[in-house]
This record gives sequence, C-alpha cells and structure tokens, in this order.
Amino acid sequence: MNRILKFPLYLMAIAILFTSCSEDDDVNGTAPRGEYDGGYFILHEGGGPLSPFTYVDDNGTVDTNAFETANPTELPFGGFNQDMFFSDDRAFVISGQSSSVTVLDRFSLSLINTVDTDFENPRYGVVVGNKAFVTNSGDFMSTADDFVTVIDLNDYSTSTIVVGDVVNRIYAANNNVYVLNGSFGSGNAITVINPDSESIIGSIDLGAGNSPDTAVLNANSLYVLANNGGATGSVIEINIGTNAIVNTVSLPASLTTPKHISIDGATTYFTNGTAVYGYTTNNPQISTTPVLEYNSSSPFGAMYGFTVKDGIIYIADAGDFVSNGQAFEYDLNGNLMTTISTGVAPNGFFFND
Amino acid sequence: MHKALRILLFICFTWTIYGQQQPAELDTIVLNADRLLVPFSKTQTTTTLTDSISKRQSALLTDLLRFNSTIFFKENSRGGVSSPSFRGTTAQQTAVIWNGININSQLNGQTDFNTLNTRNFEEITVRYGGGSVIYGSGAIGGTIHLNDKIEFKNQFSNELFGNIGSFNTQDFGYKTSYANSKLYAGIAISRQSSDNDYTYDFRGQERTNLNGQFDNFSVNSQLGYKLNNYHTFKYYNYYFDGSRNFSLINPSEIPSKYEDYNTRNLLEWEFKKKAVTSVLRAAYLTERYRFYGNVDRDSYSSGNSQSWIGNYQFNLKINTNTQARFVADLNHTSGAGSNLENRDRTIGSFSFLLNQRLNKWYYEIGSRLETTKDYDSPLLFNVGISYRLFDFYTININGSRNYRIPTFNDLYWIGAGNSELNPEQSYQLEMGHSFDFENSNFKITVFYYDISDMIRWVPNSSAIWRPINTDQVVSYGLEFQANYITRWNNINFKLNGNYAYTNSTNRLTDKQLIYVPYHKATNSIHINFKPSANKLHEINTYVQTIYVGEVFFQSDNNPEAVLDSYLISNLGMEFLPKKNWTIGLRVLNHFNVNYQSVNNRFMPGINYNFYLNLNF
Repeated sequence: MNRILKFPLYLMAIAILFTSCSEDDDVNGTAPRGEYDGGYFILHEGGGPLSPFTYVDDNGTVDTNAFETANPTELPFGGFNQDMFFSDDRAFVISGQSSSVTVLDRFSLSLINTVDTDFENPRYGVVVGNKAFVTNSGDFMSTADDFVTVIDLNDYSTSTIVVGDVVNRIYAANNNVYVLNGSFGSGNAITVINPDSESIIGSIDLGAGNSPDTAVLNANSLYVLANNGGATGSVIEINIGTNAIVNTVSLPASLTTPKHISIDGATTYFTNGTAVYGYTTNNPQISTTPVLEYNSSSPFGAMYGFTVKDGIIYIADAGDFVSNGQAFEYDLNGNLMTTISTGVAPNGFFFND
Repeated sequence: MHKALRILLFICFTWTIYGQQQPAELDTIVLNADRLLVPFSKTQTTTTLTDSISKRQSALLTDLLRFNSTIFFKENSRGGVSSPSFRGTTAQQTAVIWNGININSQLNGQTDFNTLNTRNFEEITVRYGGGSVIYGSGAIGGTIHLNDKIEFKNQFSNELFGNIGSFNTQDFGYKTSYANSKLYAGIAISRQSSDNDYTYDFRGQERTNLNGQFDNFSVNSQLGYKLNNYHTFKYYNYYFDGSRNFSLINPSEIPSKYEDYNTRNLLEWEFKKKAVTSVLRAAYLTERYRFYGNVDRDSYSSGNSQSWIGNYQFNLKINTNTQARFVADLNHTSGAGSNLENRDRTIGSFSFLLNQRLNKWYYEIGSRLETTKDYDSPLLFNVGISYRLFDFYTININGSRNYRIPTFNDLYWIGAGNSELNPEQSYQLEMGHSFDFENSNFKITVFYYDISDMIRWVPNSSAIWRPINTDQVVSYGLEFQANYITRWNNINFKLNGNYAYTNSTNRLTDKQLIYVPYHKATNSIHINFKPSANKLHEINTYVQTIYVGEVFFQSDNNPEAVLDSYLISNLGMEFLPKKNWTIGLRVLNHFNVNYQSVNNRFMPGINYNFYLNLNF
C-alpha cells in the first residue's frame, strides 16, 4: 500500500516543486544554487529507514518527502537520525541506527555517498575545511572509548580520535573543534581538538556539576548551556581565542531543566520545559517570565528541537515518538504563526543558507 | 522440482472439497481437550496443541501459536525477538505457565516466544482470557501452558526427531521415557539452530537477513515415583541455553546479540485419599540474560533472577459435582543486573476456588489475596457460569479481575525504578456460545477488557525516565473457532479455523494501539489417507494458513504508517513408509509472500523443510 500511495505523492511533490520554483526565481537577485537553496530541514529521529527530513522552503511550502523526490530510485535511509550539518556544497545526515553518515548534495539533495566505516553510535558532526568531525558514543557501557570520527571529504576515508570522555555535541570555530563532554548529566568539560593535526590540544573544565548539554557560537564566544542535575543551570561563555571561561550566567533556580540555547541578534534564548526565555546577551538580567510557553501532551518529546533565527522561534515537538511530530514557528512575542506536520520525532532545524 | 511438488500438494488439497459425511470420532486435540491440567477453565476457551501438531511447525513457540491461535506476534525477524498481543493486550499481559508455574521474566515481565522450544513439551494449551486468580501476574489477555506428562503405566519409548530446512536450519531432538506402575523417568533433549540468512524484498531491493543467526539447546526431564496409592512424588526439570543475534535492517548497523540461560526445577508431593487431594510443591527458577551491544566486543549488560516458590494446594471433593480448592503460595525472588539494584522480593498469596455442576448449570468462582511489601495488590476474583441450553448448545459467561505486577526493572532500575508503582489491573468480561455436534464444533466469544494503571516509562521533570502507572486501554472483540472432522472412504479430513476481531484503544487518544491487528484468522486442513489394503502405507497432507490484517505502526493511526495485511500458507506432506516412521516435507510460505509483522523487519519468503520422526 505504501508504495502505491507514494507514487502519486512523488508526482504531486514534483509538481508542487516545479510551480514553486518558477515563482521563486531570483527573489534576492542571485541565481539559486539548486532546488533546495534556502529554507530549512527538520530532521526526523524516528526508527528507520525513514524519510530523513521535512523540507520547508522560503515560501513556507512543506515537503516531507524531499529526499525521495530528489532521489526517486534511492531507498529511504538511516533511522535515529541524530544530526545534520553542512559543508559549502554538501549536506551530511548522521544516522545512529545505521552507524553511518549519508552525504547529499546540499542544494539538489541528490545522494552522493554513504560513509559507514569507523562509526559506533554516532551523535553530532561539524565540517572544518575538507574534513568532517563526528562524535561517537561507542560502547554504551563505557565512556572511555568515546571517540571522534574524521571523514576526509575528498575520498570519504575515515580515521578516529579517541577522546576517552563523554562526547556529544560538537562545534567548530577559530580553527578549533570543540567537543562537549556532556550527555544526560554526566561529564563536565569541553575537549578541544586541532582539526589539522587531528589531535586533542586541550580541555576546558566547566567545574563540578556543570554538564554541558548544548552550545551556540556567536561572535568570539561559545556559549555553553550547562545543566546541574536539577540544581541551578548556567550559561558559560568561552572565548574562542583563548579557550578561557570569561563569564558565567546563572539561570533562575526555578528553571531546573534547561535544554536548548540559541542566539538571535542581541538576545540569547533558552528553553526550560515547554517555555522559552530570553535575555540580552551582553546584559544578562533573566526574567522568569517566559517569552512563550506552549502546550504539549508529550513528557519527553516536548521542545525536542529548538532554535531562533531572524526573529522567528522554531520549536519541534516529537509527541510520543511513534506518531508524526509537529513543528511550530512563533514570532518573538510568542504568537504562533505556522504549524507544520513532520515525520516521526523531529529533533532540530537546519537552515540551508 | 519445487513447482512440481507444490502442484502435487495442491491437488491433494482440492480433495477436501469433496470430503463429506461419514463421521469420524472427534479427535482429542480439539477444544476443551484437557480438563485435568486446567480444571478451572470450563467457562473460558482452551485449545490444546498436541505433540503431533507441534511437529508440523518449526520448533519456535511463536510459529506454533501464530498458526494455531488468534494471538498476534510481533517478530523482529524469523526466530528474532517475538512478543505477543493476546486480545489486544501487551506482551506483559500474556503469561506463560510451565507445569502450572508462571515463568514470565521477573526482570521484564514477559516471555520471548522464540526462546522456548516446543519439542520439549508433551502438550501446549492456549487458555483465552483472565487467569490471575490461578496463575498470577500477567494472566490478562490469556495464558500459554507448557505441560509435561507423568503416567504410571508400563511403557518404554524412544523417539528421534530430525528436521532440516532452508537457511541451514536444524532442529534435532531425542525423547525417551520409561515407566511402570511405580516409576516414571523421561527426558527430552532438543537442539535448534539456523543461519537464518534468508533474502527478502526491501522496497524493490533484495536484502539478506544479516546477523540473524540463532541456536539453542534445551533439556526437559521428569521423574515420578508412586510410593503407594496415596503418595506420589514428581520432579520436573527444564534447562535452556540459547544465543541469538539481532537482525540488522541496514547492513552498516552495529551487530548485537542476546544470550538466554534459564533453569526451572519443580518438586511435587501429592497425597490423595478419598475426597482429599493435597499437593505440596517447591520450585526453583533461574533466569539470566546477557546483551552484547556489539558482537565484536566482550562487554555486555546483563540481568538475572532466582526464585524460590513454595506452593500448597488442598483440594476437597465435596461431592461428585462439587470441588473446593485452597491454594497458598510463597514466592521469594532475588534479582540483580548491570543496571539493577540487588533486591529481593517476597510475595505471599492465598486463593480459594470452587466449582460445581448443577444439572445443566455449571459455575466456578475464585479469589486471590496477595500480600507483599513492594506494591499494593488488588483482591482478584473470577466468576464463571455456563448453561447447557440444548445438548448441542452451551452458553458461558466469565468475569474476572486480573493484574500484572511491576517487574524488577520497573521497581529497582538504578536511578529510575519507582517503588510507588501499583500493578496494572484489568476488569474483563466475556461471553461464549459453544455449539457441539457429532463431528464438528463451533464457538463464538465476545470479550471486553478495561485495563488501567498501565505501567509506562516516561521522563519526569528532571528528564529522568521512570515508570509510572498511566495509560488506560479498552479492548473488545470477537473470537470464532470451528473444528470439523469428516471421512470419505478411507480419507480422514480435519479442519480447524480461528478468527478474531480486536479493537484495542488507548482511552486518552481513542486510537487503536500500534501492532494490534483488527483482524486475524488461521485455518488448517489435515488430511489422512489410510489405504484399506496393507500394500500402501499412510499418507498425511496438511495446509496451514494465516491471515493478519493491517496494523498501525504509528500511534496517531496515520493511514500511511500501516503494515499491509498478509496471507501466508504452508503445505506439508507426511509419508509413513513403516510403522512408527514418519517422513515429512513442508513448503513454508508457498505463495512466497514478502511480509513483515514489525515495520522494516521482513520475514522469509518460500522455504523448505524436511523431517524424519522415528518411534522405537
């Protein structure tokens, strides 16, 4: 039944694409780099193989089968798709279930390659120059074997760097790779890797209890959101020139489950439960009155993905993880603008600009 | 060659169309066959599957039950993790009972139906509906009974069974028993293994079931000694050691495997005098699993439990139509594991059961009171009434309250276990209409379940996953069973059919539960050809068919997230060239249907089996 249903869907999707593209031409005066230039992807973390993401173009047109449309002869891939990241011309999708990274053309979405060597429970990735760096949890029973896979983007060959501490989120700035040693409350440091030598050059201690969940890069700083196991969380600012902690902002004690952080303009946004809070980055006075709060029936899937960009707050809700999820666009006053139905377990927003 | 064989077998089956009249005696494998081992089940449906039915399936308990009952199984691959849904309930709401003892895992509360080898057991009974008063936790959807027999009559028998099939599947067994009027000794040894590297069509691409191999070794033995007319001692032992790799969907997945090691021992002393039967039982059960997240590593996570069970039953036959039974049970279990606190738990229970036949009426009642420090146990009850309106028509009604207790994982998982949990509980009601004729019988049953306090793991405000009592499910449906036996000259026909409609919804969302098909049907036809002269020996042919309707695999009942319905069928033929020799040939899934019972987990297409059975 699925296959029979899908064929008309392909045709429909192609038709929609064709019409939207002809309207779309040269909106900002530069020729688009491909069908999927601009817009954003919402990654699906459901069990696979599955349609890897939902694509929303600059006009707000939603396509939950963009990958299939672009690759009509390829099978859906992955499963537990954890992260998506980009180089100038390629998009990379990390599948935890398949222990692989799927390489797509960033703007046509056509499948280029699947890298499946040197991964074990891969998590997050980033590109520096001609290399991609992907964190791996390795054996779940141990953190000593956690490692980073280095993919040579010329030939997709791989090698590994053993970190020996929890690894999870990864960022690149100032020709350094920052690996947050924090996952579900364990680990409280950041490992710094030199991407050229592919060696560990340092570690930034965040202090006992400060387990780094996620971070955001802005100007010369990496802002790390650390939770403290139900105690006061904090936003720790690290200067990427010196790799030193330059400021620590304590979050209000009543907000015990901070999860995401994002910076848009002069404002830092973070989430706690189903609420979004904001403060001026350079003058952190944090009000316990949220910017917005939304209703979710999901205990764990609420606020599963979050980002703020160009005056829009993006929230993904994964529901019960065995049904289609939802994504929302809010304005900065907390007004709901758009609701998008996604595939199973949407976990993040990835902008293709 | 294969095609020719299929045509030949098909021709055999077309005979059934002409099979009529000439009643043959009803075989004992049909409904309500065994009233001794389940004496308090007369207002419910029971189906007993004998050894000879088991031999016509693979050694996997899943295969036997999916072809011969309305239970739906989620199978992660052939031989892979298999969990049942019985009347729309969860895997933990079906209890497996070994010689009267509940053997569901103390750690996760369920039984994996591909970790039991059917060759070990003399007979397997499916009991539909609630049974917690008698069988304890998890007897909500129904119970599966694995039974051995000890009989004190002179005999010495030996049996060899060998089965080889596609994907290098091997299934060998040896059974022997010796008995006289005082002594019984029996042992069954089985080994089963398969490379299980079948191919399937994955959305137009041919894929191989990678890392799907399994093997297991099991021994079942019994000893019986009849001291005199009053005292009898019996000992049952079961040993299972299995290893199973978990199939991959994508070839690049990290291959993992799972090892099970279980032992079960039961010692029984029966005293019988006039109207009194007293049975004292002591059992010791152990379970241990090891999960290797990566088969290339030595590291694993594990769990184990050991249970001591003492059970005393006092049965009083008040008169020929009335019996009362008191049961006292004490269960002491200790559990431990990589992620479990080392904990003990002791549960004591007391039950009272009564049944009485009054002319055309029959009733049975039962109640169970349980006491433990670990959770608040509800008072359980069971009430059943049947009335024989006509010689051929009986109506029965059964209502019961059943439960599923929190498991060791639920209670004692390090950092997450919730000691405040209550048991899941179910109020349920069913009504059956049975029609019994000389060479056929039919039964229609409607059932209704209201299950609350379902235990589910959800994260709390600190994002720590913990189990809580939350969901409520209402399940209702209809079951239809039919058996028909006839004879045409020297050909015997036996037909059996089951159908179930199941509507099982989450009360909060009003959506059908995932992996519960609305429709499931099974059908089997067995034909026995006995030539009148001695020149030709017996030939049996059979066909087994199941139909499983669509299932949702998303809880929002998204119409695009549906697994297709499937109809699969097996053909078999047995030749009996000599007395006590059986040579069998089976073509499984002969329509070569590419099907899946779990999303993206495909099962094998057409495949073959050859078996030989020797009795001496």
